[in-house]
Amino acid sequence: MGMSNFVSKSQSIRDKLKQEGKYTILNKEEHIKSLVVINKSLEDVRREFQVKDQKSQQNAAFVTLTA
Amino acid sequence: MILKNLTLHNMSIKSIIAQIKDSKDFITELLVSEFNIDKSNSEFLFDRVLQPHFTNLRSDLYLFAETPYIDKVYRDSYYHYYSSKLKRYCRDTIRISFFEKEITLDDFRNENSVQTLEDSYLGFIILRPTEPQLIGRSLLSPRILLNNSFQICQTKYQTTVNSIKLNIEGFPHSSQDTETISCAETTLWAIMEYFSNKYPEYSPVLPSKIIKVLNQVSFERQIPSKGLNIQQMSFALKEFCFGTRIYSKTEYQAWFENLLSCYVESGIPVIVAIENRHAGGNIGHAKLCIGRNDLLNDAIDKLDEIRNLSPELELIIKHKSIRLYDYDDIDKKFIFIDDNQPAYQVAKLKNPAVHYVNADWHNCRITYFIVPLYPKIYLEAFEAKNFFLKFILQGPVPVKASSDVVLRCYLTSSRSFKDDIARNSTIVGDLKELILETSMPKFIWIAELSEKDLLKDKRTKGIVIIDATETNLFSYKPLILAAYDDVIITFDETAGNLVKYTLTLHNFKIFENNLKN
Repeated sequence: MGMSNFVSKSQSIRDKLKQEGKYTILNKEEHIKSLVVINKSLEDVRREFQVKDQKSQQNAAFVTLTA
Repeated sequence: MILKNLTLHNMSIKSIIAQIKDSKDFITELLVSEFNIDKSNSEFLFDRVLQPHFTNLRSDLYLFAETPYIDKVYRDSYYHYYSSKLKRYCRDTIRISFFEKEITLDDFRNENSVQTLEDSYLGFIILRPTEPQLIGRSLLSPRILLNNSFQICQTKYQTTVNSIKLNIEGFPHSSQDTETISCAETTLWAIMEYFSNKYPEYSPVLPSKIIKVLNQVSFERQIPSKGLNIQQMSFALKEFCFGTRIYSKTEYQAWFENLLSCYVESGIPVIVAIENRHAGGNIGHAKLCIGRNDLLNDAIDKLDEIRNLSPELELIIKHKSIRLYDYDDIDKKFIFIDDNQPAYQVAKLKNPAVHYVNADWHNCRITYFIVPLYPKIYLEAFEAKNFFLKFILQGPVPVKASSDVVLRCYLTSSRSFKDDIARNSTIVGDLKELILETSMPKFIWIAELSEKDLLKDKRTKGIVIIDATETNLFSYKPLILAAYDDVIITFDETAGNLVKYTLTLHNFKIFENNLKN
């Protein structure tokens, strides 16, 4: 069986949507602007998480569960 | 009551059948004859220790007791601890199995009756000779309870009753014996018992194994047990092949219960630490949160708008009149496995020890939780939920102005998710194939975008799928596929860019395979 026999329904769907003009590459200026904003914002989330995670771990050493 | 002796080598396995209404007489007789506990003490122990485990059970049950029974957990404690004491401890246990239909001894020897036994089997409880902590390992189907309107993590176990192999679905439970296992060790045992039965990556552990692993990080002897600290519990889970994460109430504040709910919704049993030290008490206790009650429409109606937004996202939803809700904020009760209480206790996260008789426990609060994650789930809930929020509000295609969105986030395996999507007849059009033919890692985070009325009907109008192995959030890297507001957003392999396809989307049934009843 050759490669030509492989079936990809999703590729056919994507090709059909492209042909119908229902396809947009999200690389316009507005998209780049939103990407810059979201990257900065997620970097803040990453730093916030790292602090919360480290402190959670450190303080956990002082809580003994016995009951 | 029917008593029968079956000869096995030089020992004799005795089996007895009784109705649950006779459980006190039935069990006290067993305690007297098998554990040599005197009658008045046996009755006292039944009332104080055993009765609470029978109170919440259905009244139509039949009990089948077998003794002597070799229980793997108690036998391990016996050889590693109890056998070294002066006082002689019995090394055997009693197993009590439950059936919802009347049974006879002949049913176990009749091929035509075995299926009936299987259908009516509801699990077992082990009684061990460690008075007063007599309740040992148990595995009960939620169907055994008077009230079982809840969804939990559960897995199918094979066991035997009177030589017949029977299957049971539930979550493992044991009470602590306070000497070889305290709440912390019991919780670790239950976690491993659950995961090892469900996934081949994990192995079950016995109390001696937990003690051995923790010897590496202990400066004193481990038995008699004095409990464990949270870091030790996390270490043990790491040694048992988990990628453990610890969350502290002090650090996560408003996110704390929200994230705990998210992990439970993901079908992951979570270890919670409860304490009353903030109120001057000295209680520190570990138990498992394994599920939640069935959601009522009223609780969905009362859901308030999301509270955990950053100032910039607050501005966006105000400016665009978006009403955004988080499913994890729904006021609901959770299901706990607590080694001081019968299996499947129901309580709210804000009041996790409300079911304790001793009022000292009532001011306990959850201060930490530990999540036993699969080691390759690198993206945890705090970052995943923030990614979803920012993507739908600030991303390349933000949700439409004036939208109502209830966000339901959870972790699942791509196998379970794709299986559900493939069988889901409510997903019509091209979306199904676009999802199913997309490459995914073993675990994925999902955010369903629903509305309150849709959610009551268990339906969603959109979905965002992200990669749980991708912690680099830069440039939407974790995104696999998003579908909402009649667009599909994904990466185009050939263009190397994020792209948008426009097509009509319909609402479809939500994913409900993480928790079961």
